[in-house]
Amino acid sequence: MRIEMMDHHLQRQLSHEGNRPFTVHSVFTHACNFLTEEGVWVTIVSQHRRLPPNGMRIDHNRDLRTQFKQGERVFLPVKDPEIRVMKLDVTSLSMKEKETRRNQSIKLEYMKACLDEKGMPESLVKRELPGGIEGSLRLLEQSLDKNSLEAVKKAAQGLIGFGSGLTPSMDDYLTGRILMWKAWSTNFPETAEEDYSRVIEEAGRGKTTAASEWMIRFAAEGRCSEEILCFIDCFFAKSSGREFEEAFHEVLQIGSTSGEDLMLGMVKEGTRLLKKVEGGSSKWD
Amino acid sequence: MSKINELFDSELRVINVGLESFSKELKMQKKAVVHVEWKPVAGGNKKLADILNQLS
Amino acid sequence: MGLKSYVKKNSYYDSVVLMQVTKELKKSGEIDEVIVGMGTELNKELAGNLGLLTDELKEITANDFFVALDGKDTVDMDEVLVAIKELLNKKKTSEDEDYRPATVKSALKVMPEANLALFSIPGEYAFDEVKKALNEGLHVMLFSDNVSMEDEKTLKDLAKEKGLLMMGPDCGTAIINHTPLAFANVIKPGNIGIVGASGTGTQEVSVLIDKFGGGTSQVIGTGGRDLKEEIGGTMMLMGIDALEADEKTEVIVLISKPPHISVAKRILERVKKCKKPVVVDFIGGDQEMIRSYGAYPCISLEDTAHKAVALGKRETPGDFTGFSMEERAIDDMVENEVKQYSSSQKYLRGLYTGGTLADEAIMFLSESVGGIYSNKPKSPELKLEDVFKSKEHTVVDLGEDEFTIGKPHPMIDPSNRAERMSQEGKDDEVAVVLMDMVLGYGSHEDPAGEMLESIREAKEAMAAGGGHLTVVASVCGTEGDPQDLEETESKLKDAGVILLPSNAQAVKFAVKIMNRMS
Repeated sequence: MRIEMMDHHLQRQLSHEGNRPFTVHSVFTHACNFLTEEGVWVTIVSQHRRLPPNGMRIDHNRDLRTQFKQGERVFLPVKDPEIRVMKLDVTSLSMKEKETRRNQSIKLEYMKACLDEKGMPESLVKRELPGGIEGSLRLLEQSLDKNSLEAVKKAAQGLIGFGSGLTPSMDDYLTGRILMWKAWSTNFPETAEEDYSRVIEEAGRGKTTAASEWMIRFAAEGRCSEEILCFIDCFFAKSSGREFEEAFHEVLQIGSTSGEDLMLGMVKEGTRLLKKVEGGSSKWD
Repeated sequence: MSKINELFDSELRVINVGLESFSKELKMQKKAVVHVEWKPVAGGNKKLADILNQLS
Repeated sequence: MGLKSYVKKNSYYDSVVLMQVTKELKKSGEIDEVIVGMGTELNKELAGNLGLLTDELKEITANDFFVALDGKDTVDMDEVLVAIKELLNKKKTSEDEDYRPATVKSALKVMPEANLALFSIPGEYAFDEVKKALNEGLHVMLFSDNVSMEDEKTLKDLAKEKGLLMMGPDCGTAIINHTPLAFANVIKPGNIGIVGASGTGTQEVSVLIDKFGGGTSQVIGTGGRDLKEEIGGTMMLMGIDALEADEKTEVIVLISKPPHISVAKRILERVKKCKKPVVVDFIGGDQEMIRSYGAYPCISLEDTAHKAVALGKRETPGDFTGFSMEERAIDDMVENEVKQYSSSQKYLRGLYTGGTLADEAIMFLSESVGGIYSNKPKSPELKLEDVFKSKEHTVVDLGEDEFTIGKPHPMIDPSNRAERMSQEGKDDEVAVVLMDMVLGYGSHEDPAGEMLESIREAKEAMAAGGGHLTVVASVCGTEGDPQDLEETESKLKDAGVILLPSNAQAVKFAVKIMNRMS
């Protein structure tokens, strides 16, 4: 097994150490999660799969469950000089030409309309939510509007860990919101809001699965997987309808509802920020 | 040499988009094929695709 | 009340498995409430709100997996839990472990040296997807139909500009580098190159080339409308260029329904300049015109194959019009059939799955037997009022739209034709049923087997009424095809089907019977 590609951040981290063992956290057919001795989350994915944050892509696509067992300690060929590196950072995306406000509005409209039409019955878009969750969502919206971090944290405490999946639906949703915010404030620093991602991360500690905690943590650092990054690029940079559609489509494929839940978060946050920038209701709303 | 003649001189490597049976049969013949799990974008809805057409 | 929970500590399942579990639980309809998820506080709270919080569940943490359900009294909850456990522990996920990208672009990341894209998606989406593929420098085969003529022209012009193959729309048959694509047969490699605008026509010609000891270099499909005035024969012309430049090709064969006159001229002008011999089958087209441009015209698909093989061997091609067997033996067989008919029997019914094969049948039958009713007749007054009901002499192409709405093509699913066969058997005015049997990739794995019951039924029904049903067929297949050719032929013979080596001969045999009766 060879590692073909690695997340830039991860490579930097590992370069400071000697070759240390990883403990297998959870194994799937085409992905395997590990924890380093310091408890840092690392993920291996099969050939051709999209690279996740702190991820490594290997050169084959045989069933990983035959190679790794939960709880095992293994050494991985992370020091191979041939390994290529990829930046998975929304804050370091460089765009040749930025998208106009009008086009951003159209893209958001498209995203909303698609989620309404297509949604899986179990996704957040389609399913009925319990009263407590609805309440927390309302609180979240209000607290983001007011940029009140304490209230955001309280709202997040009432949302994180809710839903099915290895990364519960609400966690995907919040991740989507965080990533959109991160990308937006990088591209439009004049937005001038306080970064709320850290309080969401704090709210999530111990309240959800390890995989999800790390997903939120990475998002709070502006880090996400390859296809999400590609989508964000297509959203903020000038892109054709076709390119945008394809990038959107790829994110929706993630997990069974994860992609949709995450995208819902992105739509909500993008709409909120666009409205804010345009002062009140957008004329394209 | 024209591109078509170049194709004739190379190994055929197919991207199959649509019917799975075509991919399966190519695999049966040990031919190089990648199957694209194609789904219509925008839920197959022209109305949605038209939204994107407004992009300038 | 059947409240049960299932917990697996420190366990993680991917979304595919979780979806399967949820589906399994919902499908019985006997489960009132269910939650599938990880043991986070909020999920446990939800379980509590739904009355599903068992003691077992209270103890779990965020990294533990759980299923909580409440079912009707009729449900054996323990059984349900066993089913869930099995799903969760399944070692094998799918047979195909290959990565399946969602777009052509991602597919190119997986296979950067891909050189051909084969599309079989709904026609309304095809234009955009094909355009993208051509712009990526891929040759294209477009199986889909329901693409407008205008769009076809745009795509073919774009392909021409880029020097790429644009086979289709409505292209069902191609064999590139000896690889059958979509509906095509396994043909021995050889020196004959084919450019075909009709699917089963191309299949029949290639199969017969193989049968007559020849082989193909390349078989290029153009799609059914290439030789219409609006398209102008773009792909056929490109095909001729490519085959002329191809070292392995020594003979070129062109197959199409009669083209628009301006297009025919354009093609033949090009043929005239061709350095290699060209056999032109414009099915039923102007033979003299073709000959005047120095090409070899043809009388039937079989004749096309004969001529091509002869030219491939540097022999002078003659016309093949008769039978492979001795004429006398054929006449004996005809006699044997006719003597068994009852006085009411007088009509012929052709049940075809291949469009061009049906066309060839209608063409020959019209010349000798008279008006042939059809869903695609030679003249409008012979159009069947109800395509599902034969009238007098009838030949139907069961692959046409009116028969395939919401149903697979008869080459894939023979049941439509089997039904029609039984129906014809109940009509005591029918003497002969004529059919094709197309093998090769794309086709059903045992098309003959699927017809046996209805053939037997039809014959028995006719015999019970004091008559005899003649079933005549030809098998369009080679030994290399995935179906067993020998077995196919013997199955049909055992069921009493008279097999001829080509569609042309099967039709001619039917003509002989009809003539003998009148």
